Amino acid sequence: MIELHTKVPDLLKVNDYVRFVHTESKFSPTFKSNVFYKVTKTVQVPYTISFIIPEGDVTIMKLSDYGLYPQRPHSLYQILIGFGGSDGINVYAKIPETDFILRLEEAQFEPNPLIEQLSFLGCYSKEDSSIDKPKLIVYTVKDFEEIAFVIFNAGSDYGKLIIHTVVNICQLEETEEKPTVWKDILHYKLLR
Amino acid sequence: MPSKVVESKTSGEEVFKTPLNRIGIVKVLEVDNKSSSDITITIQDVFKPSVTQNNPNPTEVTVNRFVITVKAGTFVNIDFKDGIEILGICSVVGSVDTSDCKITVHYDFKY
Repeated sequence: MIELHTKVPDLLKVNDYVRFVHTESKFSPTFKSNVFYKVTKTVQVPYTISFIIPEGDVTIMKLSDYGLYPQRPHSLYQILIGFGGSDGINVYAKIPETDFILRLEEAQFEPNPLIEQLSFLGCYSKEDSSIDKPKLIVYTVKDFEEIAFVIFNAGSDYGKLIIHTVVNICQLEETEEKPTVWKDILHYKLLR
Repeated sequence: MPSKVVESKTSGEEVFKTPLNRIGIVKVLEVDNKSSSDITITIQDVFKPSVTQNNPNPTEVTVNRFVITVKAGTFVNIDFKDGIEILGICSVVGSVDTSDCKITVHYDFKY
């Protein structure tokens, strides 16, 4: 559902294949796990959102509040995200909105913006994925659990975070074909 | 690089409005004070913060980003090495209303 790449990733295109991977039989109400789907249509929609946050404060961005979930059951949103703006703004991902997705295996080592030593754990910044070189991808499908970004201003003044996205709207069709190359989309529970 | 010339006004003069998807950067400030008074110039940033945990009902705030007093009859040119960050509307406020003090702001936008 969420991936940080080491270089700018290619977006899915028509005739690519994807497979949703989850230990349970269904990835979402529509998509089954471990079944191949073929991309039949794509549209790329640029979309920029920004926040102005006081120093030491936090705002929550629920992706559903910004229309970043498909409404059609067979759509997949592949959202390429780059950050810009002021220095010192950290972005943490939560799925569902109560659980940090990136954390270490020891229980106490999960992100906490309000504890200095943990405030730079499991967070993204413009150094990780910039607007010029976006490397963060989030996948959403209709009726999937809420994905939220916790945005913390660790700077010393008001800061502005610019979130530039390209929403690659992909129409998917189940296929019996056995492709040799495909994109696996891992359920967030497999990331823990 | 765009620039704008305004006169010293105590009510303030808008220089530029930063788009939602950019940060404004004041690069150079020039003040040509031909008046007979010393004038204090303030670069202000006016914006409305987002809803946050500590402030669920934010209102518009004005932050003074730079202040300088220019002596009567003098000209100053300040080149800000890293620029002054502007999140919202950039305005210039003078301590005296006069058309004899011209303020030029050179600015740019970045991601």
